[in-house]
Amino acid sequence: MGVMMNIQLTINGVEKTIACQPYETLMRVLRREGYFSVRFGSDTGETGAAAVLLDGALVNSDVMLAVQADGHRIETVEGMSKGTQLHPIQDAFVRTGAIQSGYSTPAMVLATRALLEKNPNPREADARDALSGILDRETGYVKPVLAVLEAAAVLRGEEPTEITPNVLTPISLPDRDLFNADQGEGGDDFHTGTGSPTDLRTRRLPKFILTPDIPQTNVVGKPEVKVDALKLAKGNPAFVDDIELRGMLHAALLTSPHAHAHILDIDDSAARAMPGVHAVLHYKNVPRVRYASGGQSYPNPKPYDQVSFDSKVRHVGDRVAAVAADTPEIAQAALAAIRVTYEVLPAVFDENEAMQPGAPIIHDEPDMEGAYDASRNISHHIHAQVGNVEAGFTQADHVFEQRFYVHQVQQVPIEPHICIGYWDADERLVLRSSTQVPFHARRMVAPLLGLPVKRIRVIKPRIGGGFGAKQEMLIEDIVGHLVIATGRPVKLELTRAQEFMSSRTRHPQTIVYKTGVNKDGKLVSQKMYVMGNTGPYATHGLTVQTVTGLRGLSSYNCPNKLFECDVVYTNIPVPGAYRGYGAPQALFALESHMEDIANVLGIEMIEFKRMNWVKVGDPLDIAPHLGEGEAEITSVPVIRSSGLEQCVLQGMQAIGWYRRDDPNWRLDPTRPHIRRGLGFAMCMHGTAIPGLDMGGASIKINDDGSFNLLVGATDLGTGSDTVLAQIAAEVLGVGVSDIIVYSSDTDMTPFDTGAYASSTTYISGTAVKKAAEQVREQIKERARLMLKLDESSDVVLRDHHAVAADGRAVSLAAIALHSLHQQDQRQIMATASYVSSESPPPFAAQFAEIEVDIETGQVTVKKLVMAVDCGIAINPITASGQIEGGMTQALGYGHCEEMAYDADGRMVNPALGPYKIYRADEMPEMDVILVQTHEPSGPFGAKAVAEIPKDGVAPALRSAIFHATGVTINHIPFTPERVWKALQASQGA
Amino acid sequence: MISAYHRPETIEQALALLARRHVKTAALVGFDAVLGPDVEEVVDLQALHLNQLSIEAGSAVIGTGIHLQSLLEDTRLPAWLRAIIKAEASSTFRNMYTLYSVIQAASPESSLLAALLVCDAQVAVVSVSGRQSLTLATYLAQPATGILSAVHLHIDGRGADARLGRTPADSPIVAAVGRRGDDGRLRLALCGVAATPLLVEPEAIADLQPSGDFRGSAEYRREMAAVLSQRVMNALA
Repeated sequence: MGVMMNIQLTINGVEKTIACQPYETLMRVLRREGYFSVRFGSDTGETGAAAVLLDGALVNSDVMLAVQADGHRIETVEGMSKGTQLHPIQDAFVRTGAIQSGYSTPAMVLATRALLEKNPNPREADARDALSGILDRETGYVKPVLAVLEAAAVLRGEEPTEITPNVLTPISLPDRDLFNADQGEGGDDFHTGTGSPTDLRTRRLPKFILTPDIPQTNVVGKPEVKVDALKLAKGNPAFVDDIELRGMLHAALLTSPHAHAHILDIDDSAARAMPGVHAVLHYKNVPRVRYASGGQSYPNPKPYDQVSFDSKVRHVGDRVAAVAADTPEIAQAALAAIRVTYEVLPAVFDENEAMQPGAPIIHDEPDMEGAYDASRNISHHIHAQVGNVEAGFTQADHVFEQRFYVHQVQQVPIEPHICIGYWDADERLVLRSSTQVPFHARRMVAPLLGLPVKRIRVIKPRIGGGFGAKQEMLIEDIVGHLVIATGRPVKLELTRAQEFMSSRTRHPQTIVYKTGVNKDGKLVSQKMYVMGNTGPYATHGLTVQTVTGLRGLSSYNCPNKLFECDVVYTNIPVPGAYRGYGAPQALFALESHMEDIANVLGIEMIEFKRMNWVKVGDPLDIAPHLGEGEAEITSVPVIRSSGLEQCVLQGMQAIGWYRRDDPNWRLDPTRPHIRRGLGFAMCMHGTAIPGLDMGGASIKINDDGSFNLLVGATDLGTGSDTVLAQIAAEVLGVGVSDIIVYSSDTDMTPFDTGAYASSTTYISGTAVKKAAEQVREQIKERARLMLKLDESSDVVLRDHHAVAADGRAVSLAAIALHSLHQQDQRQIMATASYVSSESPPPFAAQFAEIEVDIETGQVTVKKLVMAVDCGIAINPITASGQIEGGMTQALGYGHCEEMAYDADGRMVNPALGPYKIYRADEMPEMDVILVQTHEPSGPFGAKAVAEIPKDGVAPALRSAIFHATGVTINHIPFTPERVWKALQASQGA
Repeated sequence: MISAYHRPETIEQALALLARRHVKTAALVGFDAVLGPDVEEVVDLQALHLNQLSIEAGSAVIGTGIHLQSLLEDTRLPAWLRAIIKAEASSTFRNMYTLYSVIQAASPESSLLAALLVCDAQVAVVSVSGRQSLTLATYLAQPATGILSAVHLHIDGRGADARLGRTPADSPIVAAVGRRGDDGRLRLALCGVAATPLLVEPEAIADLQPSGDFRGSAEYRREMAAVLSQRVMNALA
């Protein structure tokens, strides 16, 4: 320990003398002083979540010592607003929909402030540069850039922009032939940034195609401001780490340096003897209870191949021990004092090699149960068939077979996994956790801790992104064990490196497609074989691979289909749920395969796909054979809505598809090494897991006619709290501001399976709608009583009133007071839940424009366009934000992100720079078009939107690379050397 | 773990603190403090005001304590050099990094270091034994003990760069930077092909022995060094 120092800081205009240790970061000291808007994202400054203004300049306080700031002026967002009156910059972020989880919003607001103080009239490029130090996994930077430009305009004295989508005209093919020249939008001034600021503000708004089926609504379908925007814009203490508990201990995790090893012994005596160390846990002192960690419905799919701490480690980053200590420094010192004796074993990382005879057996423990064939490292084998594929291949005019490989990436939520546990006054264990699945986590952690479910409460505050990584009971058991062992509050937060290696990732897969097709282009038979690499633990292994099969064999009609899959244990860090959940892998292979077939057959690619893709009325006949988990689909789902044709037409126009055959466009005479290309992929996803996903909602009226909406659904930053509030408000005839949303807390809210599988709007939204309809009936009943109407009298709710047919009205506030205080008192409230037997697919058309440097292999993505049919968009701003953010993650998947390893299975790039997350200043232009259809089974016609943006970018990039160069590459990501080698091989051939 | 922090007000005090042999001490110039785990004490040089900047007649003397953002905003520096400064780091890190921290880090991927090399950078090093001037290339190969106080650059003529990365703002896998001074001589430097950026003669590129990693194999880096160098030479022809 060092000598405490007193430093002088002027924070938000207030001079303070603060005592700190010389090793403490500025972020840590500011948070200790109560400035919770300064947030942890990494210990390298790469996320920018901890950015503050130091003498007016944006700096990362997580890589700066507090003592370095001595004598300087610090500004945080806490100093920017008074009460509920936001600063114009904060207001711009709220109005433009630039806030999703809000975790990094304070940093972005400060970046904007720093920019505008120097440059009140920024160009788009200036805004992007200002935001370049703050990574965002949620918005694709589209709306934050818009917010910067909007704030600049308002501060210059201009009128605020009305943030509403641009309504486009539907396109019909006979009128417009997009294959011909002089049609479409094509390129613009995005990369030069020469447009006027006002133009840019307008151009960045989402586009919208109305459907005649759209219901007349007042709140649904409107770009309402997020219900949690105020607290997020102000940087209020809303996240897991933003509470202070007396005597809280700091936990730290010791992880394996070996990919596969027996732990022969652990000597923790030195660690336990250290002053300030309160617990050291490992396999010797924690009960061995087997479980599966994937956050899924009861009963979790087998095998149960994990225990809290094992005597064997199976990947670099696997758990070895955990400590709880007075300070983070003591915890780290204690980890260093633990002596672990390993017997290092041979390891296997490739799914193909892992199944071969002689491969190391990863689960050889005697109590292993439930795996398909642990001796061959196969956790599951999946088989599903429709028709007879072999007969189909015999009948087909052509048979094509191709192999694809998709790699491992990480979700990278800017807020890492974090959990704080403590005993409450009733001696119940409270776990305040950044989780997508609070109810699953409570049920799953209970047997591991030896506590009944009723003694555990899981609270999900705001979450700084999840993307599936937090659809897991990942660290709650460790925190629970440490709370039980110490009797003290305990906090555990993963480091960024641990988030990569000890959290969850996307499954790598080897995918083999074999397709029979007739001369006319009709598919006859299609077989998909998948080897899914699930790392050493199966968690979501069965269900992710099942979705791969479902998505890979549902998008196109074909009478004969076969899905075969081996889910394989290896020694890589553990794959699990990641937004898209098996579909991005499938769609890369499927769309690439279909395009290559079209090219061989000489049929225009989109036409070939259009000929075969599923349309309204078509059955998804493989679905009943690929039920997810324990769910069984007994009937064949049928497509009831699809806007795919319009999506394709709109996307073609937006990308300037006519340029595809223009040789003058494809070459750049000033840069002879550049080739330009346009690519396409169609996407079809699902909406919730039929028969399995369940959401609950409870609504009660307050004295003033406002409503509490309690939902188990988990807003990860997606805006689901807002969407659910809009649904309730629509039914109850009030505004969104009259709906107070609380989500989710296992003690306080109804059950919900959680935020995954694109289910919240569809499932939880329907539950909210049902609950609101019941409350509406109770309100009507009370209004009839107050207005002395008979039971059959019609009453409608609008504008905060119950209005009778004769025009008389009574306010909801009066109804609430009457009901709660005056006559036949009762609480107007209702609870409803919903589970669906259907999973209506959203559809989308993804387009990409790229440049390939044929001398280096460097691919530069210039523009992405996604036209999405998500049914009726309950909130077009949050929906478009989901698409922009999802496309950006998908861009990383296809283009640059990868987990790279050395020969011993150690990740060599566990930091965000080397891993490579796209920054604001290097993003391609992005265009989002919402093509609305009315899905009859969804609330107000809605389908899902959260995951489909992940599906199409990788195959669209491959398509564009092929268009630009004539080279096909079956392995992502399209990094420069991979493309260069393909170009070299092509030239050699 | 850091147990003590010093902010000396004179360079003599700083040198005395840094010269202690029994304490593992690191200098901080700039606001980034990502330090090795064995550092025991830090000496923050911000009070020494190493931020002089003079530009005249095709040359510049830049204090090593100036933040990159300040250099970026100084329009007296040539546009090609400012573009490389901008590409060196994101907005937050440009407010934290100084020339001192860039030189001390000696990253093989720093195109700014390559740019300094082609500007015939001379670094001024102050130590207890006096003041010396070294070429940046010499300093990178064998860092001298003492405090880097300033960098002298030649910025006459024209400059150009060509870079290769996974994305437009990626740290370069390979980059080439060149300057043709008013004397007509071409200076060429590469990054991504050795332990630090280095000056090269065009005919020696084929003899480079880069290390490979997941972003680019040794063979690929060597090939790209030739491609990008040629582009820079073409631009400066």
